[in-house]
Amino acid sequence: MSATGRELLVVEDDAEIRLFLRTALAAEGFQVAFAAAGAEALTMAAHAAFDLFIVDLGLPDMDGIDLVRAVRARTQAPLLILSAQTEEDRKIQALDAGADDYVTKPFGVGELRARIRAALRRVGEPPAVLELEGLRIDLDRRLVAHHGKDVHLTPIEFDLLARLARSAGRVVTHRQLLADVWGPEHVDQTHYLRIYMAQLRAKLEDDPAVPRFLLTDTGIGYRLAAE
Amino acid sequence: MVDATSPNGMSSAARSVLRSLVLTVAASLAAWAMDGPYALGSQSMAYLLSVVFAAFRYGRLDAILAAFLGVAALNFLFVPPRYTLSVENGDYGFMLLALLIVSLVVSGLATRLRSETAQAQVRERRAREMHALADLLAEAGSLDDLVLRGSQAMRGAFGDASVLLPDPLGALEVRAGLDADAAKWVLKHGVAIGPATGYWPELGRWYVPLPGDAGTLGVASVPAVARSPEAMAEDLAHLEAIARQVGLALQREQLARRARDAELEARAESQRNALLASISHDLRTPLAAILGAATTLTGQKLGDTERDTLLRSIEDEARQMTATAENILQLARLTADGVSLRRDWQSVGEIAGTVVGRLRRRGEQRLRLEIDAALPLVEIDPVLIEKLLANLIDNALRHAPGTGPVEVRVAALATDVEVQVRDRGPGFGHVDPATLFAKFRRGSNAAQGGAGLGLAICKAIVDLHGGTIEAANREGGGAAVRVTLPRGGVPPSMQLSGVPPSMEPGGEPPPIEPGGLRP
Repeated sequence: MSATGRELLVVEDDAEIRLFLRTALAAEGFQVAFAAAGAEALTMAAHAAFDLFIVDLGLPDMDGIDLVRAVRARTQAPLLILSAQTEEDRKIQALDAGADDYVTKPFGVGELRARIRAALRRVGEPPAVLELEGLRIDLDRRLVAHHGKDVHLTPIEFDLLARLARSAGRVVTHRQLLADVWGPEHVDQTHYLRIYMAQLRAKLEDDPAVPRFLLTDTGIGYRLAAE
Repeated sequence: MVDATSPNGMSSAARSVLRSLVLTVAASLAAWAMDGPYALGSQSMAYLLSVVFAAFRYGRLDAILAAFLGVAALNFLFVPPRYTLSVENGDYGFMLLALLIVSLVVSGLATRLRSETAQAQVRERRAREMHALADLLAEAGSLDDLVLRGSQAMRGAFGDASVLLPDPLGALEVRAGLDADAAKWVLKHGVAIGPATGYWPELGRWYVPLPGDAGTLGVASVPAVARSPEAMAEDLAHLEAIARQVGLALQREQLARRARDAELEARAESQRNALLASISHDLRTPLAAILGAATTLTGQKLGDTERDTLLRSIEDEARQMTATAENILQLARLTADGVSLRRDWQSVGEIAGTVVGRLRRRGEQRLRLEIDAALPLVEIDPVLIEKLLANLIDNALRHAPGTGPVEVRVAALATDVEVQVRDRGPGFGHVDPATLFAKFRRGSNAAQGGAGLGLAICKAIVDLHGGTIEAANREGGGAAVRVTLPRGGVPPSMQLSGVPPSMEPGGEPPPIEPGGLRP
C-alpha cells in the first residue's frame, strides 16, 4: 500500500516524539501535520480531510479518549492511539470508543509502520480472501486452508477467525469479539475466547503454544497477524 | 465512699449501739455474778474489760459507747444507792469518773492500735501488690495491654479506675462520668487533684498524673473514699505509687516503640537506597551502551555490519531501559496500599506463549516452551501474570550464557497451575535462593543487573494472587524458578454445563455455540 500523498494528523504534545515521527513518517512518503493539543487537532480536522489520525492519549487540554470520540463523530478515517505502558484500561476504552489500534510508548518505527499499514488497509472494501504465509482465509466462501490443506472449522470458530480477519493486523478487543461473534449479552464471557482461540490455534498454527497468526494482546484482545 | 448500710439495712451507728449494749449487758451479768460487799472494784473491771474488748474488736465508737453505758450501768446496778443514777458519796463519784476516764483513754489507745494494725496490713498488702504490678506491667505485650493491666491494678485497689492517654496530638478523650476539665488540668500540670490533695477538693474522685521523664503521659482517675485524713492520704499515696509505676511502664513502652519505629525507618531507608542503587545501575548500564553506540555511529566511518550491530545494540538497550522503567512503575503500584487485581479467566499457557512469541519475533532463539495439554483456566490478572513471566524469562535469558536453552514449562497440578523457568546459567551462587525474592535483593551475579527489581515484582505479583514462588539451583548447574498459582474454581457458565474447563484442543465445548447446536 503506497503511502505517497497520504495525509496524517499526529496529535502529540511531546516535541521530541513529534520530531521522531516527522522524520520517520516523512521517510515513508506520508504528509504529516502536527497538533500539540486536542482543541488544535479538532480545528485542523475540521478544515482538512486526513487519511489517518495518530492520537496521544495523554494530552494537555483534554482526555485523549474524548478526542477519539470527537474525531469519530466527524470522520471514519483510521485512528491509532499512542499510550504509555500499563494503561490497559485506557487502551480498551479508546479502542471501544472507535480507535482502530494502539501503539505503546516507547515504540519502534517498524511497529508503528506496521500498525499504520494495517489501519489504512481497513479503508475500502475488505478483501474477500486473506493470504498469509501458510494460512488462507476465504471470507465469502467460509473456507480456511492451512499449508494448502482445507481445515474444518465450526461456525463459531470461523466467525471468530473472520472477525479477526476483517481487522487483520489490528487488535480487536475482547468486548468487540464477544459482541460480534456471540452477541452483546456475552461481552463478559471472556473465557469463551480462551477456549475458542485455543481451538483455532490448534487447527491453524504450526506451534499452537507460540502462535504466529492468532496473537494475544494480553488484557486487551486478539489480533490476526497481517503479514 | 463508705457503704453506710449493711445488707440487713442497719446503719453502722445502730450496730455500734447494739454491740455496746450487748457488751454492757454481758459485763453487767458478770458483775452481778461477782456481787457482794467490796465487789465494786472487780465489777468496775468487768465493765472496763468490755470497753477494751469493744475497742479492739469493733472500734472507737463502740468503745466510747461501751464506756458511757458501762459507767451508767455500774452506777445504776451496783453503786449505792442501787437502782438509781444518784451517787451517795464522793468516793463512788470519783470512782465512776475515774472509770470513765480510764475507759475512754484505753478505748482511744486500743482503737489506735487496732487501726495501726489494720493500716499496717493494708500497707503490706499494697506493697505486695506494687511488687506484683511491676512484673505485671513489664509483661504487657502492647500499649493497650499495658493500659488494661494498669487500670486493673487500680480497680483492684479502688474499685473503679480509668486510665486516659492523650492521642498523638495531645488531645485527651474523657469518658462519660469523668470530669474532662479536671483530667486535662492534671495532664497539663502533672499534679494530683481531688480530696485531701489541696487542689480541686470538691471532686468525688482523684485524678492523678501518669508521670514520665519528659512530662505527664496520661491521667488516671479513681473514686476517692471518704475516710480519716490519714487513711485518705495513704490511699492517695498508694494511687500515686501505682500511677508512677504505670507511667514508668508507659515511658518504657514509648521508648521501645520509638526504637522500633527508628529501626523500621532505617530498614525502609536502606531498602530505598538498595532500590535506588538497583534502578540507577539498571538505567546507567544500557545508557552507557546507547551513548557509546550513538557517538561511535556519529563520529566514525563504519562498515554496514558494524553500523547494524551498533544500531541493534542501541535498540536492545533502549528496550532494556523501557523494561526497567516499567518495572519501577509496576513495583510502586504493586506495593501501594489497596492495589487491586483485574482478574479474568485466563490460560497461563496462552500468556506464556505470548511472552515467548514476542521474544522469538525479536530474534530470541533459546526459549523452549512446554505446556500441559489439559490446562485449566484460572482467574488471574493477565497483565500482571504476563509481567511475571516476562520478568522470569528475561532474567533467565540474561543469566544463561551463550546458546544455553531456557526452558519454560506450564503444568496443571491438583490445586495449582505451575510455571517453571529453568536455565543452565551460573545459578544463584552463594545467595540463599529462599531469600532471593526479598524486595530489592540482588543476586551475587548482579553484573547483568536488573534481577533485584524484577524478582521483587515477581514476588509481589505472586503474593497478590495467593501463589508461591521459589528459586533453586539446578542439578548440573543453572537456576530454576517455580511459581504456583491457585486454580480456584471454574468459569461460571462451564460449571452449569458440566464441561471441564480444559484448554484441551479438539474437544468442542457445546454451551458456547448459539442454541446449543453442535456443528
